[in-house]
Amino acid sequence: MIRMTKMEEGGWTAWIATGDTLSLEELPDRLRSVLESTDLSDRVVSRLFPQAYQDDPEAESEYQHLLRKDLIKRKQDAIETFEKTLRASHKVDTEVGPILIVQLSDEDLAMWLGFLHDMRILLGTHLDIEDDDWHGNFSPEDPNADEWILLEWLSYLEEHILDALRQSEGLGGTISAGPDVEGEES
Amino acid sequence: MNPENTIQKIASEARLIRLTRRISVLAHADDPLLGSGAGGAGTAPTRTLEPETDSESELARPWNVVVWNDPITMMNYVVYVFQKLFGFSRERATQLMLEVHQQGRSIVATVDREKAEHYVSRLHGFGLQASLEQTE
Repeated sequence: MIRMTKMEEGGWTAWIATGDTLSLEELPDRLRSVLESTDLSDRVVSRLFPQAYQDDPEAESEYQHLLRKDLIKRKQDAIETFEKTLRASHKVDTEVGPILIVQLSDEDLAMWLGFLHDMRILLGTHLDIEDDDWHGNFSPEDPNADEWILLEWLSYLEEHILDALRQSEGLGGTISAGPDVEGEES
Repeated sequence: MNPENTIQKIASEARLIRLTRRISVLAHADDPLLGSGAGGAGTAPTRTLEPETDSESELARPWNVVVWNDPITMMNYVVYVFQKLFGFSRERATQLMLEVHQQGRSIVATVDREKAEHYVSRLHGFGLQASLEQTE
């Protein structure tokens, strides 16, 4: 369960039921190690740093030379914001398990969105996702079942973060069943 | 300084370097096809100017910003990025997202090279698979 509550003074409070097994704190290091990788043949690396010029190696090399550092920095900033806001969060034990309460400014939301997107790219690439119909399409016996569950869960979280950000930016919400969003009384 | 301006400035400098290099390569090419008179009316018919005219017409052709389908990326996320980056209405952004989804790719903008490179770098910043290609 995830709920987003818009605060009167600006920003949002995210109520995130993490269950007993999910540890959001462990995610940043997984992404960070990929960003620090110099192995250009790594599939995750090439997904996170796509080619701008597919048919012009010289132009591509210049593009990467000029812009890759900025892109790494942007991704690192998102990781740091994710970590910082998690560190400042509160965990409460409830009858439905632990709930993480995180305060997020609109800027934090944008950073979370970027982090979650990259994290999902990392997981999805490792899981060899190539078709659009992967949602819910895995067996509990799959040796990577935990990773599939994590990916589904991060998708769910990303939807909520995106919805809150859309509302903050006046773009309208995306989650049609309103109970999880603004105005909900918890 | 605004990071967007910095990126644009860098992209613009990169383009100048490329342009200079390309012109210099073309100017030294001993191509029989680049005979005198290819420069067109009002252009001095000298061999050194002709290649510049060619490269100018090449530069005049706009560039497509192409977004590629990625099954891991969420559809709503793509719509959001299109709205935010290009200022598209939600309907237009959704239409383009569906084009990416169903056809594997979509041209989301056709602009000059500098702008196209800028858009591609912003799309990469949002983690989308995007590239630029010159129109035929």
